[in-house]
Amino acid sequence: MKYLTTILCWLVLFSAPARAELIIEITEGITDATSIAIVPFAWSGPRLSEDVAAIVAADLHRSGQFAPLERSKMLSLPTQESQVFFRDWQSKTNGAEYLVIGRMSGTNDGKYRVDYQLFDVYQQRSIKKWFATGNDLRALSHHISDVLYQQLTGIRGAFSTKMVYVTMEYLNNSGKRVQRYRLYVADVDGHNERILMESSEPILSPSWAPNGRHITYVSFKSTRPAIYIMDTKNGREKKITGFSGLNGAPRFSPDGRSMAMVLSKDGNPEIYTMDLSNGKLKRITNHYAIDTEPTWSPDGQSLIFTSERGGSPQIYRQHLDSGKVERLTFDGNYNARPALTPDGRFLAMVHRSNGIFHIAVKDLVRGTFNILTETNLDESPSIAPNASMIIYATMDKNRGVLAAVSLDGRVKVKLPSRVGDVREPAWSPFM
Amino acid sequence: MQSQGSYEIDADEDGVTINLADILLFESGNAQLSGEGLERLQRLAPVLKAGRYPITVEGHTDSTPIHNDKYPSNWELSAARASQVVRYLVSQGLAPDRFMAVGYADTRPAELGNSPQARSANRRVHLRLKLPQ
Repeated sequence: MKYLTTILCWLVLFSAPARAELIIEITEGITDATSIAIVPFAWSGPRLSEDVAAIVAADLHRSGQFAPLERSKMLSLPTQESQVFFRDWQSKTNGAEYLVIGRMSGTNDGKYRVDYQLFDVYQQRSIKKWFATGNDLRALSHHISDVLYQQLTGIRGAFSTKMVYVTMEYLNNSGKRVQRYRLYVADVDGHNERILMESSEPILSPSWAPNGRHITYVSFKSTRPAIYIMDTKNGREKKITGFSGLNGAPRFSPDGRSMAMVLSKDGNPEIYTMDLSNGKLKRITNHYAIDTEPTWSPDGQSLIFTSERGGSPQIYRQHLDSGKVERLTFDGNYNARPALTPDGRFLAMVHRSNGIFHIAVKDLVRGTFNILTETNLDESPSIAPNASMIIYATMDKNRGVLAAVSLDGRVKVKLPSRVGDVREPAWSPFM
Repeated sequence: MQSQGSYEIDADEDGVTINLADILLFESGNAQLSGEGLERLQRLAPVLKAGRYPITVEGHTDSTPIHNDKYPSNWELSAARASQVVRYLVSQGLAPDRFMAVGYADTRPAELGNSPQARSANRRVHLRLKLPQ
């Protein structure tokens, strides 16, 4: 019986598309990544569009903290506890510290059900069993990744989140070169990419509302810059500003009730907040230097922004109640595009050193400053809701692409390159 | 690159020039960018960001003489206008080392004469892009 199951699994394995594994290139992982074997899950129905175990393995691999065992190295393919022989997983070359097995079935209401179990190979014991149901196999797979990641690291997984980003390409319109901007939403592994909006005019600065459903951005589609809010579920848009001059860099507050933004309606670019219930504006900064790129502290009590008031672009924090301003960055003469971790401790930014733009992070508690990337022209850092990774835009062979780096700089991941320039990624909150 | 709404774009063997002259970029005697000027630059920034070619920003003034603490002459004012454009574009994430800011005072008028139109047309900034051939 064991062998029959094995053969069935191999059939599943070879018939299912394995794209998920090809999508993301890990350019640098940690050397002591935890080895884990995710055995193909049993399934006796018709061929599936997705290989759940492969997606889970790819998710864990992309975190850089796990090294999934290749399937060709698995000595057995158990799908239930009685088939698990720990000696099959204890070899130095073909082994793993952890083992995941699972079985899939169809439910009465037409969904998929996955029963899966995690084992500790060294201690030769089962750690925990779970089951999950759902219609969408990719979503179900990411959910399983989240559960396993949390069990093994103690940190909530962020594999079921999404990102938005902007692409720009030149199209040939009967001999004329025209620009085409597109705003996309996709799963964080790059799958399920969907166009939210396209325009011949620039789309800038997308970011998410805390509900993980609405986004905000700047569009020039009415020829003048304006800030919009869009419901990503149905594509419905609402224009919230269209003042004369600059309308830029909108960011929802953590409670979703206000929006920080940059406006130049009173002359110089300054930071404002808008109460979204009544559209009332409050001016936050008042300085002849350019103040831009506001982002909220997690408690909503202060705004972090870039200002060149000290002679070069640096990051400042302004407390909303007292108006008190403090400068947060002192390393080098260019620090911009601030992004804070959800606990408010780490500040990610674009840092320029020797003419090269890198992603850097400052620990606001200890004051330490680390440059995380070696690529050039890195921009727009956006932090995962579990603070594990920073996604950013960079240049690869003269094209804008997306990449990600862990907060400690030990894991680096390149996202698939595609046509045109990819810019301004924004990682969603937990959904 | 081609026509961007209301930019005037010229190309010759030296590269491409974007002429931000047709809009009210600055008030007379001032280097503060107007609302319309900022709008245009906000729109232009993502286009310029797509390349790595150097950009020379040339500031020009009208022929009205100026002499104050901030701007002793039109040379300082034209340089301040060019710098203001560079600073804005750098604040939008363009690499500072791509830029050169140049002040021409009123020595290269776009329109001759002293009419209000001519003066307005002369308060301008040109972006000269050294595009790869």
